[in-house]
Amino acid sequence: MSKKVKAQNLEHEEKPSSKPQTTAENSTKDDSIKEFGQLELPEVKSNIHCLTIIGQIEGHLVMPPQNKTTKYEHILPQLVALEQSTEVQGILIILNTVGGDVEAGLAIAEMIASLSKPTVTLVLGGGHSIGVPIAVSSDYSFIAETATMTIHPIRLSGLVIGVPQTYEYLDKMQDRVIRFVTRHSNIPEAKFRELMFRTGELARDIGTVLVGKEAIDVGLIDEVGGLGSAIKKLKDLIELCRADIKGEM
Amino acid sequence: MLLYTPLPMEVVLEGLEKARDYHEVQIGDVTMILERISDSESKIVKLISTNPNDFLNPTLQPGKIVSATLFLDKNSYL
Repeated sequence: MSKKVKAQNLEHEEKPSSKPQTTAENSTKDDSIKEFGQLELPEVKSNIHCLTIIGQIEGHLVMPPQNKTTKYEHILPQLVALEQSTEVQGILIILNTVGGDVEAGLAIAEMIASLSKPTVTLVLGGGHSIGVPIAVSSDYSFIAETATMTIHPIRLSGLVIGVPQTYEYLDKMQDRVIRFVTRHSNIPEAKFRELMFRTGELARDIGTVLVGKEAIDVGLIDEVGGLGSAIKKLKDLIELCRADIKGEM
Repeated sequence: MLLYTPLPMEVVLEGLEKARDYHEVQIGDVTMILERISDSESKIVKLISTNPNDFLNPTLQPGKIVSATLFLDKNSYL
């Protein structure tokens, strides 16, 4: 009998009633010592949820295991749960990503942009390529002083046919990204296009790397800052949100 | 598929053809896809659920190692 069938049979025989058993809890404690070299962190009740977007943003294709990935099919329902949650009042999104699937990245960005709860993004390390629309999708965005954002044209993977239609298609896909970014940040479209197609800056590609403050200067990100300023801003936004609700009542 | 990343495609897609040992299992109310990493352990690849709260459950995050006994042994069942 296969494992799957066995597991399903168990399910039919006896409906589980209780929560995960204590041995599972103990093993998490052991794991945190083994994996992180530290005891379990004290549980702090927080009204902020932290979402991390790291590595490659995985889309329609499961990435080979050497990639660290953010799975969009997991992030989307999380955002649904966060929007519905009565405990979570604000969401902090931390980015350190090298980009990835265009559709998956735009899906995450659109979901974050349409959340009714206050959102703040913080770019650490890097927020490259499709990480850019995610970084600007929040109510307020921060970038660490040393963090970078690469803006470059989209490339096609797989078989590319050298016909004008291929170029038009790519242009269309690019426009989706450009339109989203210009709608959710202060960067003018012409400026973003100029950064995207600039030559002579990147060694292997055309485009631009923005470091820390440069992202603010072009109007892409709102402020240079770290964890402290991001949390403070989020708390301020939550307060504002509360005041608004009270004002309406 | 459109990949938008500064990393070279060869680096991102290396090893894509390698077959992986996926299997589908139901634990509690949640169906999930697991990847077998040894005889006794599997890793969560993704959840199949319509309950958004399942996706916030820290014990059900992708990458978590699930012991095979969790869904085979009745006594240690959730």
